[in-house]
Amino acid sequence: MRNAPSILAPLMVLVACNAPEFHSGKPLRERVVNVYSHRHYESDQQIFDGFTKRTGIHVNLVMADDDEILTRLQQEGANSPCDLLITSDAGRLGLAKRRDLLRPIHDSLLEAVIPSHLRDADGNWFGLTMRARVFAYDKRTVDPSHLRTYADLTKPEWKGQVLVRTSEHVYNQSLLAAMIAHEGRDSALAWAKGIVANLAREPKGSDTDQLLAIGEGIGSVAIVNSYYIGKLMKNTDPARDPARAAIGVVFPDLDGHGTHVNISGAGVARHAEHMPEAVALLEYLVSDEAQALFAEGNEEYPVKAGVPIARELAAFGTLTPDTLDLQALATYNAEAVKLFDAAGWH
Amino acid sequence: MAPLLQVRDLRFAHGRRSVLHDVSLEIDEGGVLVIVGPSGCGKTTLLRVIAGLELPTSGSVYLGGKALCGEGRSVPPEQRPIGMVFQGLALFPHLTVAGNVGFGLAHLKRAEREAMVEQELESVDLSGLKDRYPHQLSGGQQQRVAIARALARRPRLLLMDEPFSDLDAHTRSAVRAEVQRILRAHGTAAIIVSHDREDALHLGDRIALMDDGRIISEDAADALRRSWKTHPFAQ
Amino acid sequence: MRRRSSYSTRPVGIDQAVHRSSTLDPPRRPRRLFTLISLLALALAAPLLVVLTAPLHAQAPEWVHVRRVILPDHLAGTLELLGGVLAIALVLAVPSAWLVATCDFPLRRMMRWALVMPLALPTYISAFTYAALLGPTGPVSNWLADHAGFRPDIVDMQGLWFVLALVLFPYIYLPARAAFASGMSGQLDAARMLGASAVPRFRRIALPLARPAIAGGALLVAMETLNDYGAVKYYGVRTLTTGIFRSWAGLYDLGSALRLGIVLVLLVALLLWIERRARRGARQETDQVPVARVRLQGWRAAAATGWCLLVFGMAAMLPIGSILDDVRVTWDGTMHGQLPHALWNTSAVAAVAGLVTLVIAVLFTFRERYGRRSDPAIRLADLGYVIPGAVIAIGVMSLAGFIDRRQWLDGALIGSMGVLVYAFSVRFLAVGKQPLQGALRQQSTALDEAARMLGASPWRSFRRVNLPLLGPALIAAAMLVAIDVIKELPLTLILRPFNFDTLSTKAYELARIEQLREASWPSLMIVICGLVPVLLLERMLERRARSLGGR
Repeated sequence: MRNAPSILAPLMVLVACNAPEFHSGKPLRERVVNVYSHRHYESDQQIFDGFTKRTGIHVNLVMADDDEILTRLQQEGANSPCDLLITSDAGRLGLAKRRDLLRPIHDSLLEAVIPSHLRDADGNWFGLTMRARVFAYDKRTVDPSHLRTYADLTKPEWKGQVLVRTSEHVYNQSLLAAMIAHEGRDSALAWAKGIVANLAREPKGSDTDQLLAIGEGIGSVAIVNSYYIGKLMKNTDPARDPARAAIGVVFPDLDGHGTHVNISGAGVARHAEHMPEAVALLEYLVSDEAQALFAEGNEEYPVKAGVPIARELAAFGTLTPDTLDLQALATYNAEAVKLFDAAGWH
Repeated sequence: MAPLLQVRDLRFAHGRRSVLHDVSLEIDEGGVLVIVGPSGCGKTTLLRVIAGLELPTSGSVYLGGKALCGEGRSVPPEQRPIGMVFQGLALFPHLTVAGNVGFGLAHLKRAEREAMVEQELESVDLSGLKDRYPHQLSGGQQQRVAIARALARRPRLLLMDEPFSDLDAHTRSAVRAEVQRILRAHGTAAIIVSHDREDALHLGDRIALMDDGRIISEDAADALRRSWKTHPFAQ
Repeated sequence: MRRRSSYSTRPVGIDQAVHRSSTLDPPRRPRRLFTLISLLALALAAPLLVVLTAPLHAQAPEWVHVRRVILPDHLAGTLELLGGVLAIALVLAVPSAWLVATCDFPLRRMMRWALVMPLALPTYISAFTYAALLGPTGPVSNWLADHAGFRPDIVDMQGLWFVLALVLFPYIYLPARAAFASGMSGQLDAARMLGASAVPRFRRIALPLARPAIAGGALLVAMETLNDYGAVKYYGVRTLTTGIFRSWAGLYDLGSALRLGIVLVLLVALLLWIERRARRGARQETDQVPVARVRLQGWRAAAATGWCLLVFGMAAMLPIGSILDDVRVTWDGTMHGQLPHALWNTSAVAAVAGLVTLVIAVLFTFRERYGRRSDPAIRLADLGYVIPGAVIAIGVMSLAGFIDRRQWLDGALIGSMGVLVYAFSVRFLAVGKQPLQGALRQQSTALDEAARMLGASPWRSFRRVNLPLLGPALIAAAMLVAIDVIKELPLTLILRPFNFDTLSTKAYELARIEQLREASWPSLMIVICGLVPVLLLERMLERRARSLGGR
């Protein structure tokens, strides 16, 4: 009985020990910017390193998934150490804005560099890179002239040919959300049903898996994100040679608006303590240097005009992005999920 | 002189099944009561209630005039001046003989405790075995360790639940004699539960017969010895 | 006569005790300690309470869709997955456990620990690895497609049965082996003398006697299956857990997601009830006599070795070999600069969380052993194991955020090591308690009572008698928690401090962007980190078995 407190003591110590620098790789410095990011890329680390080198501002980073990050930000409230939120889905940025987790920034440099449809009209968030939802096809069997629009893929000639991942993934959801925004619910549902009717197999695996499946002839057209194609092309693993050799790319058109894109973007947190540093980082992220790294290191499409895209992607043609107001992706995401369920697209 | 232990109208039930019906008994200072009865008659439960390991449904237990349970209070087992020898002995397998015997003497200083343990082991003729572990002892030796352990705290009452059941016939009579000697030497009152008539005849000052949760007769051992042959448990 | 005079001294300190305590009313239980433990249990149950009660007041705008479409669909998927995984895991675990515990055959000693190895593999890593090997575009499928004209594909429901069963079967194998190895030798010998041959002995004696142990293991397998997300999502299988994420991330409706969480908990309550029934009639105390092993000869020996090798090969060698091969292919030195840092973080956080959870589990098992009624807060805290990590994270963040917003503390709780460790304890308490409860069940209550009759308070009785006898189970508990912490992902991901990487977050970051082969480095380190406690645990159990045999 008398010993109980002595056993509980270490617990208390642990609960009390809440210094964030405990065991962290780098100490927290004077000039810092605290980032919550959903992007898990090696190239991002290079970009942050470049920022520190140029400005002397240190970047502290927590990487986690979108919805968890938003929850954390919300729960931390005014105490949140987060200065800058980076996510890889415009829908979530819209959600963050709706929940009042971001603060508007009016910065002439950002506004000049980033096209208006890729940033929030009120300055809550800014797009940094684009990834396009494209068709990868088997060059050996497919005539790409039959594949000009997203709707083309629902035609009966593609029965048993279409490869795609589950509707669990946000990239499928935002594509359908964009269709709802442009064409309405019925047309979007009809498209989803058409794809399900043409599937080569049950939706599963990753985007890369769909590309590999083309290499093995399991299907002949896959709906994938552009940067996975870039990554596959860069990869040197001989096991992936068949896929690399077989793949061609179409930038499908969405009802005359261009190809559907989603963005990686960032916004300054509502309760940011290091505002100037956060804005400095934002500005750096759209600098030529950072944009080139996004493009070269991670095969994304830069938002800044004039920055070259990765060679691997450039070879496949030019992207004409849909200029839909990306806030629509947040508005229609839930509707899109329900349509997937209605269409039987698991 | 008031009796040492007074048990009054004890009732105990497991759920709906009634195990003890209005059991009452008394023991004088230094007296030894043997409770005999068929298995399942409630004798072990009676011991456990006196020990405080079970709470009675109603009734009371007084020791030396103080209530152990009843009148809306109950002294937890560790604070009752009662020792108990369990049916399976329940020696602590990870402690030596000395560790077992000294377990109840934690309130003493180390030197005092060691002296006590020494003395206790001497009284049960186990002095040389104090560093052995229980599994290194014979059945009779284990028995004596269990008794020494229970008596080391100088309880006013010792409860023994089928103390000889695991012993063979030969050892049994030897250990029985030993127990009798030790109890007399300590002058400790005891309640011994047994299903064995021989135990009762040899150990008890008084003998109680129990059946179906009731004490059906209780008498001085001498008196019972005479009427023994006519009683249903005689066979 | 010297003896007699020495005994005439007055009783020591006991009369006073009676005086003192008789003034206490009602009977003195270790109330202060019990209160402390209840508070601790409440602290651990609090995040679960938050998420389980949230649906009462949170809005669930998409609930109609979730209830009509997602719930039935995903519930059916959950049951199908659960049934398949449990059936296969039982088939893998029980015969292996029986062979290793009761027979002698070539390689038996190696198999003892080899069959525990899959425990070190996180399910998501295993799932990716099997998919890469045996999936539709894996080398095996490609070869078969070229040479045999058909293309096997394990990336589906049935494939996932095998994948999860292969990783999780040791949860059944370990307790079943322990049950077969000791505690029933008398009954088995008796059956033998009554003319029962090996198969009836197994079916009619060993299996029913080991049923509680097997049921306990099966429950762990079921819980792990229920809260898996990574593997299930990749294989395109719909379970309640993916349903939770579909509602949360897809429909932007956390309220409905948490309602699905309640369905998940109800399902687990059902499983717990079934397990408790299976445990009914379990032996309280076993004789601990090791069973005499039968030496197998000829084809029987070959078959035994063959079976164990097959299970070991499929469950451990195949994925580990494939990870090693990926490491060889992708090794270019770019990763290893960050790995020592992640390795240190992983080991430190696993060790601390293992110890803290152990202390809590010990206190809770004490409460369960000595308390008259069970503490509802403790029973609630047990549920942490079945609720998906990300959902627990919501509860933990809500609580910590609540405290932070009131600024009762100097720093922020969210993002602190303390809260991360706390969250691990919430999540893995049941894992730590399981071996302690199993070992305590084998200790006769007469031991506690003997200690009580010798004047020991409940806590002293527990500390001096039960605790030392728990010995290896204590280490097993800490190790099992540590293994789970090493593999854990969602809690670490969201609750970690700035710049805090562990091996599993490293592996995840690479796997997320579909760089699965590059993820092999951290994966390998996770497996190695997990193997250390697994093998230590195994050695310890073996030594204990041998020392018991010596008695």
